[in-house]
Amino acid sequence: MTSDAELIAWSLAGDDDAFVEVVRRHAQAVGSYLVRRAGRGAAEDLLGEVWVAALRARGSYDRSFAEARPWLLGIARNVLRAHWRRHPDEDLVADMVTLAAFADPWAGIDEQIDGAAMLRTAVAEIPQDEREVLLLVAWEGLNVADAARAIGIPPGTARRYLHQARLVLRSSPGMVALLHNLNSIKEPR
Amino acid sequence: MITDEMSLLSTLGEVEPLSTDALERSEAVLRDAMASSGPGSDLERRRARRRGTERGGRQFRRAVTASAAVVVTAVAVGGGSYLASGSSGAPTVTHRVAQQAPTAPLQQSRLIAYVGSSPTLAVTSLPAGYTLASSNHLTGPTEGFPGDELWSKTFAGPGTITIEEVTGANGTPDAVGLAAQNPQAVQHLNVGGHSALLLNMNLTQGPPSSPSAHIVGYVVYWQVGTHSWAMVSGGATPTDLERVAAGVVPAK
Repeated sequence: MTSDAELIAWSLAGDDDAFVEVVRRHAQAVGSYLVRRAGRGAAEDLLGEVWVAALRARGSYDRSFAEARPWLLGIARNVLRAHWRRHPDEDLVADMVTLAAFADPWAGIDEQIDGAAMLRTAVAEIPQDEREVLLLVAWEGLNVADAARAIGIPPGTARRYLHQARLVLRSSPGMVALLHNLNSIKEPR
Repeated sequence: MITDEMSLLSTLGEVEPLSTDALERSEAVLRDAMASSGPGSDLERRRARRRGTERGGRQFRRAVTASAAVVVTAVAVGGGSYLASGSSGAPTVTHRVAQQAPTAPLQQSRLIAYVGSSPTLAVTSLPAGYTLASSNHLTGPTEGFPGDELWSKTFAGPGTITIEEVTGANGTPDAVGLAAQNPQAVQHLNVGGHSALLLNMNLTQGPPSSPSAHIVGYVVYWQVGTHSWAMVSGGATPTDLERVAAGVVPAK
């Protein structure tokens, strides 16, 4: 399969469809990134902005990277920041930790333990850059090097951020008990 | 399998994927931007003008449609050439007007046109006495819901008529929604062989916060695609709008 880098090179030579192909490959991933952080309605509005920003920035794409997803997520992050600057009443932390709340993995495990709420609170307490690395790895499925590329920091820094973020999560109130409960549940035969 | 904090977090981030419709709308925005920065852009038109190659709407249309991803409709009337390009579902509309030939008779500002990306509209004819306005075009992206500039241009004043094609949530669907809420303001028409609705904005009642709540005049609109509508609107009489609408067809 033709790499994203090659397609971007073709688009720079005038092949618009090549860039559209890059967009189609990563549309769901970038769309989900936006949904998790800004909600579905805003995400649908912002996705087009991401593509336009990427189109304008493609001349600076580092073609030593075959896959464009981290680059696109980085652009999505910038678009999201601009969105929040335009809408300062929408709090970044509140969005990030509440809008994905409908997916409740704890249903049926123990209704008395609001694990999702606990986890969201813990995530909100993580410093912003560390949280971004953590979520790019946990939610977007990037490895640490790609997460670093997405937010423009050295890979070593991203590894440190991820380590610190995981420490905060593990030490958050209730996390030890929650993990213990989850890991004690027997798989049904 | 051992559950750790990362797998818990991963589950928390599960979301429903965006709809195909939403993805297509975002792609339409991209294609619109490509068209704006491609052969039909202001920059390219200026270059073409310097080269002396832009001699009329038809010639320019051929050049643009042959090379641009988004079909752009150009209309030539009375020697003038007009080029309109539009948007998409996202609240961004672009509109470009090509250079007008010096000999074009500007009788009265009667028409502007912006068209969307899929499908586009073509204006095959205009009633006698009508020409295209050059003073009422959208010069850049509009923002808001619907685009404030779009609405103010659409209903710019008595005698001004606009032809628009919109895909998605901007402009026309707002009128569609308004019509559904105000059946007393709707008449069914047959214009140019297609069914259309005439919406009397003077009789509609919308939310006070909506731009459309403050607008008077008429809208003739009809569906030209799954998510797109053609709309002829403005401060003219319903008869004027019908006559103009009769010459508007989806582009081939």
